[in-house]
Parts: sequence; structure tokens; C-alpha cells
Amino acid sequence: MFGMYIVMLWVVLLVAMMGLPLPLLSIAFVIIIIPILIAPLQYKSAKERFETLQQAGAALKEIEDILDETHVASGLASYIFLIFDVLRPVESQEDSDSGDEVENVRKHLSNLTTKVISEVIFQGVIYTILFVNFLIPEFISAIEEGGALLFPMIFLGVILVILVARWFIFLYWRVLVRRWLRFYQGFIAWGEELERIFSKTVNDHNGRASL
Amino acid sequence: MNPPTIRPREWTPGPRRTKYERWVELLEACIWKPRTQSWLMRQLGLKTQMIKEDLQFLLEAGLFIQVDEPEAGIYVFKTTEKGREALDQFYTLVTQFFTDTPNTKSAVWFLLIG
Repeated sequence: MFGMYIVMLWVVLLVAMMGLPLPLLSIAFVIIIIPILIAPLQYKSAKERFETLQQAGAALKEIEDILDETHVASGLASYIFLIFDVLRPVESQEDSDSGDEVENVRKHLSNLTTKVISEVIFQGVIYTILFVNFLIPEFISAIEEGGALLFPMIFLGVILVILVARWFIFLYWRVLVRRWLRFYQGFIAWGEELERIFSKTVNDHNGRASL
Repeated sequence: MNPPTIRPREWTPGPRRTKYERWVELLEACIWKPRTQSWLMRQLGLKTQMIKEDLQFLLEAGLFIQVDEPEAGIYVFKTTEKGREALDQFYTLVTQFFTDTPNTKSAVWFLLIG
């Protein structure tokens, strides 16, 4: 998903550096606008995932008091596992062993980290070039002169604000995911311990493994 | 007493859950009242082979008990006291996670070094 934003930034940068004539500028704007048109769909998906986490977090906070009294609340696991569904890499479609699955999630997160760090640096440099060398001086100039470039400049400004906002949302999401991943790993460790203890019990009892 | 229920609205169980997640869901689903295999399959979205393996483990481990003798292919299961204890451990894990105050410094550190 981030790939197209990189392309988009390069087009913006190209437009800024080359001072393209109007027909080429129009083509450049069409290329720029495509990711913006797709953005609502991406926003919808991201919003759903955020809402899931928020809903789960709020419900689990509420349930803490109840847990002290009864230790059991029907449906708690639903929230937790709904979050685990969000954490799993999308490309992994097949059922797998729990160990492999956690390993897949770890790799997924690790790849995501590398991706985020490189994008943070790369996009940061481009934003700086755009704002300092082009957008701010040109915007001031367009306001002063009231020229034809005022509208495209505002448009470019809006695009950059969207990109920067998305950048920070992604960073926030990244921190949130790391926290949940640690819990997921803790849960798997609990499951492994449960399996070890009870498989041993079953073996001692039956002389054979249960699974 | 009615069980406190916090099941999310329009919740559909994910198709790629691990066996540990399925065990917790089964233990939780049968803690308040006995459930049939078909009810569990429908409610938790489990395939026949999958639920058979899970039930076999839970029964043999003593976490589940089959309340009725199978009559006309109907099986009813309930979580045992041992199963409840296992579930309590899971809830303790959840509570600990939420009572731990998020450390901003470590979050930033993780963000930077992965």
C-alpha cells in the first residue's frame, strides 16, 4: 500500500522540480489523484481495525472488575482472538501449527518494522525537500501574486497533509501492534504450557499422546 | 446468575485460529451450561475434524466432561473444574496485560529497533 504513496511522492517531487507545462502537469495530477481516490477504501479498512482494537480495549478494561469476582466472563476470548485475527499476516491463508503461526506473525512484524523505518527516513527527506524548497516559497509567491498556480498549490498542500497524517497513523498503529504481539506471544506460551502439562497427564494415563 | 457477556456484535470467528485459541473458546463456551457438538461447531465456526480433535484432547486432559451418554448422535459437553482453572489462567494473563502500564519509552524503543 505504501508503494503507491512513494510513487505519488516522486510525481509530486518531479512536478515541483521540473516546473512542468500545463498538459504534463495535468497528467501528473491524474497520477497523483489515483491514490487519493483509493484512500477512502484504505481508510475504511484501517478504521474498522482501529475500532476493533478500541472496542476490545474498552470492553476488557470494564471486565477487569468482573474478573475479580467471578473469574469468568462469557465472550472475553472473542475480543482477544478478534485482535489476534487482526495481527495475523493477511497472506497466510492456510491453517498452521501454532508455533509456525507465531513465527509468521513475528516475521510479519519484523518486515513491517524494516519497511516503516526505511519509509520514515525516505518520506521524511522528501517531505523536507518539498516543503522547504518548493511548497512554502511557491505557496507564498502564489498568494502574493494570486496567480494560476494557487489552486494546484493548495491541492498539493492538501495531498501532503494527508500523506503526513497517514504517516503518523501508521506509526501509532505500529506501536499498538507491538504491544498486542507481546500479549499474543504470552498467550501462545500459555497454550504450549497447557498442552505440555495435559499431554503429559494423558500420556501417563493412557500411555499415548492425545494429539 | 447470568454470565456477564461481552461478545462483540457481529463477531465472526477467524478461520485461521490456533488450537490454543479454539481450546479457550470451547472451555469458555461450555462453562455456564452444557453444549452440544453441533452448537459448538455452529457458534465457533469449527469444522468437524477440527472440533473432534479439540474435544478429544479436552476430554482426555480432564478439562471437559461429556455430561450425557451419546444418544442418537447427540453429545453434550461441559467444562470441568480443571478446565475452569485453565481458563482462569488465561484470564489472569489478560488481566496482567491490561494492568501493566504501557511504557512510552519502551514503545518508542521498539518502534525504532523493531
